[in-house]
Amino acid sequence: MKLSVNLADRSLAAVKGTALSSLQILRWSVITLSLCLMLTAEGFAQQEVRGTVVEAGTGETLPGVNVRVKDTTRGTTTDTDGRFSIRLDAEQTILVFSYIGFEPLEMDMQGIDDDIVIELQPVVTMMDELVVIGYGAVRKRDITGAVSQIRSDDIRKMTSLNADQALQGKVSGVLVTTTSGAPGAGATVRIRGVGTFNNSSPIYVVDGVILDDISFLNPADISSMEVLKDASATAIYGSRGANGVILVQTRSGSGFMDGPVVTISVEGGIQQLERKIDLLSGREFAIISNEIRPGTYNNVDAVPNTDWQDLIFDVAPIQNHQVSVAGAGDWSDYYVSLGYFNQSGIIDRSQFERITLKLNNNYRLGQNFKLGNNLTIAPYRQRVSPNVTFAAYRAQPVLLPYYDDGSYGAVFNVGNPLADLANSNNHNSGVRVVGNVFAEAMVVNSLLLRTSFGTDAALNRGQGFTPAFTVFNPDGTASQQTNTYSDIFKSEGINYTWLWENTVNFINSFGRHNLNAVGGFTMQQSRSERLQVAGQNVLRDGRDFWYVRPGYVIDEANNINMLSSIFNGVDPGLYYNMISFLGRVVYSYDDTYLTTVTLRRDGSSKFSSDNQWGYFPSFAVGWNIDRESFMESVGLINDLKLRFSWGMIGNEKISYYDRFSGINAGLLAVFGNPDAAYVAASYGRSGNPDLKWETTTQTDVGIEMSILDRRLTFEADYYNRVTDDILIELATPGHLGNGQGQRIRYNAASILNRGFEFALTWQDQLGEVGYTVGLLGNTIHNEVLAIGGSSGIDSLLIGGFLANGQPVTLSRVGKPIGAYYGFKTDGVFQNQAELDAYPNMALAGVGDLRFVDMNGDGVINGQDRTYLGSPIPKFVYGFNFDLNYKNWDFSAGFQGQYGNKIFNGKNAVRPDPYNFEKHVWDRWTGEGTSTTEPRPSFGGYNFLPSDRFIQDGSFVRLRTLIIGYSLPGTMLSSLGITRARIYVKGNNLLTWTKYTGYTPEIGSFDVLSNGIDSGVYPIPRVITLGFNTTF
Amino acid sequence: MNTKKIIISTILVLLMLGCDNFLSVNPQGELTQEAFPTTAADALQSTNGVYATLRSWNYHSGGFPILEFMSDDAHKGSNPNDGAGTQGPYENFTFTPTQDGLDRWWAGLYQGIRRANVVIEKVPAIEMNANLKTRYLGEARFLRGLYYFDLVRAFGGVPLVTAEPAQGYCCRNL
Repeated sequence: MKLSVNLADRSLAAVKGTALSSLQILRWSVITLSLCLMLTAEGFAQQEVRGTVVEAGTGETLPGVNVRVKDTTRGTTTDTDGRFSIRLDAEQTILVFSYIGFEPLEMDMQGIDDDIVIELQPVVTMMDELVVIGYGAVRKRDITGAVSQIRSDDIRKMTSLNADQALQGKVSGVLVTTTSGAPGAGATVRIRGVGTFNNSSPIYVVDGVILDDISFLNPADISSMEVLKDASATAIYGSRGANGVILVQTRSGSGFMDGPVVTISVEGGIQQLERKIDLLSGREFAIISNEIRPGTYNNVDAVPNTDWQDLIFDVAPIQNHQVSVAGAGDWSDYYVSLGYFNQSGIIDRSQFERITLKLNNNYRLGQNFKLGNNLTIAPYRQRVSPNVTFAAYRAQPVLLPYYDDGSYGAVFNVGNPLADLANSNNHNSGVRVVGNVFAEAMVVNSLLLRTSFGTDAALNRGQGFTPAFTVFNPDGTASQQTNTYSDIFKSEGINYTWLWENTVNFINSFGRHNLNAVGGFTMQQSRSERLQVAGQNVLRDGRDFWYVRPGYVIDEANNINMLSSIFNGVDPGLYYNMISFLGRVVYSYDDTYLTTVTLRRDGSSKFSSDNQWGYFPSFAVGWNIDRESFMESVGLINDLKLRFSWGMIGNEKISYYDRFSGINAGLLAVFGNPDAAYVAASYGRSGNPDLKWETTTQTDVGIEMSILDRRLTFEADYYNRVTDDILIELATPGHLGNGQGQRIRYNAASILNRGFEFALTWQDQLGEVGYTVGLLGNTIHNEVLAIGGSSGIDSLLIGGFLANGQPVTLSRVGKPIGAYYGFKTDGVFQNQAELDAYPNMALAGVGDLRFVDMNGDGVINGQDRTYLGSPIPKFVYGFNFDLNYKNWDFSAGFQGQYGNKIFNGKNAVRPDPYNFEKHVWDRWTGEGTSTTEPRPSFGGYNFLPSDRFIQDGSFVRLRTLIIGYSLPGTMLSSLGITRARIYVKGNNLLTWTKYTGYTPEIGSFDVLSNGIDSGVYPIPRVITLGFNTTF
Repeated sequence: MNTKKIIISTILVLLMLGCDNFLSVNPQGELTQEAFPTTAADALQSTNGVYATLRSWNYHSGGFPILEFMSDDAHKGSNPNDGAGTQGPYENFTFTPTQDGLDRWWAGLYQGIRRANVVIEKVPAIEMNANLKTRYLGEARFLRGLYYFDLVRAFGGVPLVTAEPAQGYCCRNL
């Protein structure tokens, strides 16, 4: 009566969360049978019981099993064949079987006289849980790659539009940096360092669709996210997994067999600016201005004092609501949810609003056939404000925002930020539809065939309208902040991607061998189109008139110009086709020795036919040391796994157009008398038909351990990833005729990222208090290994351009990507003698900064610039603490970074009289007054890129703090409610940092401009109150 | 079971046959250099393209430091600070190899030469009015000669490029 556990069944059922019950049924039927026998048979005074103890499922005999008569000290153990024999007397007939790694079994032996087979169930631990790893699910004990998981409760701790905000501080190796605090702004996600000069973002897989972002997805619809970090885990995604893969599982209705379950969640709160920047007051600014240009202000005590920051920042509301229904019947299950998210920005005229509708259904048609669909429809509306942060930073505090008559006051060279806000109308809206339909069939009990058709479609519209307006100078003339004609801008874009995946999954175990293999074939197509038009001189300012008509601009010669610009084309990153073949085998012997081999072959239309196909193999081994016999005596250790992986994965996120050599059709030639223009066209940009994938080769060594009854778990990895053949643009010799400054893409750079990752978790119960403490961190060493040529202009990549056009980052061999580059300062020239003694530029004077003569040639020029620091942190860490006591729950999460530097770009751009940061007050005014802050000036020598503008960007932040109370069950059950909880939540509450800007989190999608603060929209502090209930 | 296998493999084979076409995606809204110039209208536009270099800033105004300051046609003038670092050195013949303007002059002229080479190489193959064709070719040859003349006046001996290189982007040791 043996039953072999069929893991294939578990993949259908267990992945969806239901327990397998047929073994339980078997066990109980054995017990019932023996009870019946006992009732009918006569008891003997003493009986001898003989039998064999085997492992349930595999039938393997178990030697050394402890067989004891209950409540006595009499006992024996099974021999090498698993056999035992023991005498029972009339009173004690219950035998207890116990064995490490198995559930103990008690059985009443009365009346049994035949040889009996006892089956012991292996303990189901978290090592047996199935973890989704891409094109299948594998038991946690069999995983040979670095995979981290984050569950729904942790995902919902951040009140945000986008679920990837929840990863920061919860998953080691992941760095999520917000690029802007504006509602709807995205964040950069970097897994294990910055991989390439181009797109370094990971891919997301949601509902079987491979995506670049998950902004459409309501975080409440997610049940778990798995982050695949190393080559063994990501190789199955071949030419897209080079920067990591994040799998997102959305909720389903399976498991809710007792009728529909309704969940309602309501959350609302406020956001506010976390900290202001210390700027000079009106009086202080007047004093400093008088030092730079004597006589500017006659009476420094009578000047106004405007705090521009107070004027542009305000407290703003945020809300996040959701209702969902889930249920399951005999043949189907469903999950339907509707969510609403609305975030107003702390700066006026910025907002993001989104509705998400989720429909996940599964239908079981027959024993072996299943259909299903997952669908999300997410319309959104967004309002984008102009960048007034930089304007408020620079605006002179001595100017008034409004004149006495209520009109806007002029702010020289910067523009009145309030006028900019009032006259801005930038609206985006659209719909995103992501989902798939799939069918699964189980064949011959171990082969699972699956086909899935998924799509990601988006329709985006944008419009911007600026009315004609004038801000006047105090003398009544028009200031520079004038818009002569009203402007209208409209854009419409549509893009869609479909993905058809077919896989065959083979899961079986025979004896001690366990095999989980998958093979597949996929096809994908991505298309896009965009239309943009702009016009001027719209008839009226109201919204009803925001259409581009042949509005006209009349120029000096009385000519009427029609549409001022039009653009219609495709999005070059979203126009391609792909075909892939994939295969993976996960094999484990005795649950102890593990190996995973993956191979993927991808073809992409982005490359010419010679280079279209790429092979991406990966190989990994693992060793579950805890299962070895020599580890049995070490009771302390519950799980111990050592794993090693190596693999190659690709990145093909380039423009589809880069390999083509195109024609420039916009040229003009002029002939005739009178002059007339004639259209002309000739060879334009050159493409490179030899382009191929960027390839990342990643090696990973990891250890996973849990001890003390799994209360302490520890995981650590060392990773080393080298990205080769990075696509960068290099210059070509001028005589090839490509034109001045033209560059062509080559696969010509290499980058290294390596470091350690660790995660430590302690979970325990102290009386009625349950608590979990988690600590995680990772180090990053990022280095450019090669760029194009070995010397000259092509061995460097210059980037990080400030608003005044000055570059501040230089990427070159031996340094990190986007490293800062400029002069090193060494104090201030205190007097003329010092000035004469040390080399300096002709423009330097007493009281100015002293730049270090790095090359010792006695001259200060561009050659004396040097490496000043990196925007990439050396160490990223997180600390989490969760506690629950009776009906209360408390959770706090910290995140931190160390070793990254920020370039205060807004402080460095200074061609005109702008306001200053407070540290300028400690300026040099005479010998010995200051050795760090030079004499004040409006731009010039002291504002050349130097380490004066480099600040330490290390910080620790209290990212989440939640206190919740669940109403007692007794009160609820009378109302038919299963659960009701009310909570207070705070996000981004406190930040400890030395940086003087609004926030030390300065991300950028351009890896060469990372960490440069050019007036970023601050990330607000969010405090909300919420209530959720399930019934 | 066997029939299922046959069906599945047939589908896969058919799909793979359709594969090669599936992976070739043409550029949208842009012509590629293989396809231009191929018609009579293209021939006219590509010849006009050679003239377009004469209108580019690099040619009509960018060459003045080299051609005017360094000859006796003109002095830099203006006040001493104006363009002291960029154009001033030409006046005194103290310019460096990376002086502002040299790469623009060189690259701009060779771009004109390349446009002329395109006409000279590709227009003869086009079916069109013989007189027009002769005219276009003549115009292209003249302009190419003019651009080389300007290059030689500035730099002396320069590479002679009379045909589109086999690989337009070539000549890099990576």
